[in-house]
Amino acid sequence: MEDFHKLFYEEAGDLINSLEENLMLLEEDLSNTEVVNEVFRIMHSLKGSGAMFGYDNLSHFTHELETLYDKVRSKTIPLTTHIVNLTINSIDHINAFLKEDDNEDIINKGKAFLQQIELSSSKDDKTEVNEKSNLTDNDKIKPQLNKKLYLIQFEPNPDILNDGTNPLYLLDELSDLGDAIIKTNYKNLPQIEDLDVDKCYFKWEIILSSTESRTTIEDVFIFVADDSHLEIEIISEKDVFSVADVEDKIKDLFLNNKQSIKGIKKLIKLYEADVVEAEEINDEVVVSVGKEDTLPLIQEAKQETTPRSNVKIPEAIKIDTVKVSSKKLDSLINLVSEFVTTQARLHNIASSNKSVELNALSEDFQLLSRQFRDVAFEMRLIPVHTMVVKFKRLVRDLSKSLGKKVQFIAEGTETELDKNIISSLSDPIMHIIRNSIDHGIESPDKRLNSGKAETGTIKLKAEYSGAYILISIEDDGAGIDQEIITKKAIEKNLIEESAKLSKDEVYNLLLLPGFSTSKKVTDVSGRGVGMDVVKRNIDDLRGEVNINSEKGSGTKITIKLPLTLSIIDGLLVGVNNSKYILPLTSVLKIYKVSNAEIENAYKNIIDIEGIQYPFINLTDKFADAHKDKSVNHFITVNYHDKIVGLIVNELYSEYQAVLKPIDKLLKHTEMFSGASILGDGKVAMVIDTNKLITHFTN
Amino acid sequence: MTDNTSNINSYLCFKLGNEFFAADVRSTLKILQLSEITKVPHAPTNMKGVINHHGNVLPVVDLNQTLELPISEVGSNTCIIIMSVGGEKETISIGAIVDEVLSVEEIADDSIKDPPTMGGNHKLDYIKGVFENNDLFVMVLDIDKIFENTSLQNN
Repeated sequence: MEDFHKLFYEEAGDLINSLEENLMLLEEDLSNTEVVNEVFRIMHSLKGSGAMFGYDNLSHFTHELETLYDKVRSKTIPLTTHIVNLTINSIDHINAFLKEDDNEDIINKGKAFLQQIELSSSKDDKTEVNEKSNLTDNDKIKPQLNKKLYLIQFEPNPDILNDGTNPLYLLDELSDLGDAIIKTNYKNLPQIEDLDVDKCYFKWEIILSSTESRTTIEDVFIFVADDSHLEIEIISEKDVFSVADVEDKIKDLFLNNKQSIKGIKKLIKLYEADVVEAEEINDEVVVSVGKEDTLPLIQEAKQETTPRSNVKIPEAIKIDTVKVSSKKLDSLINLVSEFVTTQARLHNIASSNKSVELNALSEDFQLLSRQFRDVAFEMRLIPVHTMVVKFKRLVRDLSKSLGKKVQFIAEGTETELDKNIISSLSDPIMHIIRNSIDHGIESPDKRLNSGKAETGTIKLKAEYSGAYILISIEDDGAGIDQEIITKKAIEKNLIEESAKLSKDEVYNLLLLPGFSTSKKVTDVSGRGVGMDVVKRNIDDLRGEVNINSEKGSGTKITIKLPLTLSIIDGLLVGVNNSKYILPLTSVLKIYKVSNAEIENAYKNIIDIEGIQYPFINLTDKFADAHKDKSVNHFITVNYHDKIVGLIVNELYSEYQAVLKPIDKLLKHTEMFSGASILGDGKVAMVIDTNKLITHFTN
Repeated sequence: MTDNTSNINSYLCFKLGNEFFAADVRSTLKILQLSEITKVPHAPTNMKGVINHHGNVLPVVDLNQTLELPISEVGSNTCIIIMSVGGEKETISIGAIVDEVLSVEEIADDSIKDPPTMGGNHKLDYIKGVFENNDLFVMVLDIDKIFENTSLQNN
């Protein structure tokens, strides 16, 4: 049962996400009926699955919202910005229910909220009293116009009860959609001695007369559809039951098994002829009863339902995506990691062995393991888009509460990142956006005064850059005042008063622990956790944060992240008899240099093929008791926009390194991003070239 | 009778230099022979490097140096005790080099005395208490505390 709750929780999370997204769309375009339908559908799913998993209060809450949107859908009430706003706020209540369904406090708050909603929908009603009274009249007629007759055959999986699903509830829900004649089929019921009380032996045949679309009916069974046998068939597009006595006749024939289903279908077709007349009469009624403006309304409703049922029910549903729990993906990645490590051992043995066959096999394995790794990683990639909804919501809520006008633009959201990176990235970005709205974007009049557009802009952009992903958050706000930062840093004893700092160095001060420039403590930011937390979070992902700002015109914060977290292609090198791994992505070229060249180098700059490279001699920097001076290789690597050389003793091979996290105890040794286990069982440290160079040049 | 008076716990006793120490067996995971340790440049001096332990990379520290005791030579009895340290929130595994592992003793809580308040070269707050075993004084270490705020993190 635990598992099912988790499943529900995950599913609800997805639903809420897409709910938020749709509501944002709706806020922009109130007339978008597609989206209204989607919101309705989500509320319905939340209600249904909530009830199934015992979240009764959640279910009740969403039921009310569903009703509201049903009214909107049927145009009984018009959709207003106010309603959309309320619905957006309702998401918080839904989230609260998800966490603690039976918390009195939450229930009461939810109730109060529902009253608010009721009030707003009735208020809207009053403004159109006339129309409404007409509509209530029409309500009686309209459904008859659209009523269809469905035959539903439902045979649940015998084990359905084990999942905590009570099929009777589903039937109840079905009955809510219209007039249902339900027949239970006992054929499969075994003899009492063979009866397993945990199994469900029944099938049901239902004739449903309803105005709802087929999709809505399918939605009732949405959680059991996968392992149940379900057939929904429209046996008549017309409301056959409106013809006198037909309903009773059919009921009698159907329930008492006097007619087979086939027979009943035929019978209904026969009665259809009678309906046409009735329908025509009804149409006349509409014209005479309804005022002029209600007629197009009905036609509109008609038009909408037809294409929807046509479009949304493809003949055969093609499944091209499979939902897999991230836990399974994680264990797949773990297995791949072990596979790669084992392959390294095989390679180790093969290379010390003269057997050609073994070596060929080992090489094949290496190739396979690389492909295997890439495919496994690809599976974990999800688009940046998935977290953007949250940001939109944040910008919307926060700018409102601060009385600022802010628009949020997201670019390149189709860029894909490892799921684990995305999930640890969302908090830092939230923080940056919060900062931008709170400190960056000015109030509307201030902006107008300084000649800017009234509405501020925050732009999030994601893009690939080699083996990295760049995510930038840019605002057109007030920018960062370097003087204030310097002053504050001196105040806080972070720098010497006489220190002369470059622009970048000043901005980097912001990343130091305990630095917050806001003049007052606001609810939003400045609660002691600042950019240093952002930096730490990004560090944990082996990424980098870079701040750039122009006073008066805005701030841009760029986050640079590696594409994957756990396995990298590396270059295995030796320094002073220890092995290290350099990430291949940052390696450019390898040259051979002599000892003399290194020793004669002036200011650590060496001339190779006419180009001068600054370099770091790792044999010096990593030396302890002994220093190996034997062979020197000069490896050029990318360092931001420069090229820097690293000097090592040995070059071994290319190496697929499974990154093992190094413990917190080693965290201060930032120049290593992790460690990797070699084929012989020994450990090699993996060098983070950027951080290593920064460490030794500062 | 309260629970405290009757509790008997097991302690792993080991030697650092000429002195005897003990750690609660519940925080010790395994004893390994001293194998090759991969050096980590620019790590604190008491941190000897990392080892591969069942596919995980563990840091290894010299317990002598961590407790600011005289450095001892590596001998045939030198081993690594894998310990689990940390608070309730998260625990990490760490290898500690000791000069010799002696025995596991079962000691009742009430026979562990408070640590001496003065004298000795040891950082006293790392010592939970002292007990006597075969006429020898054994100091019980507070493993979590040792690694909570040692130079390992702050260097």
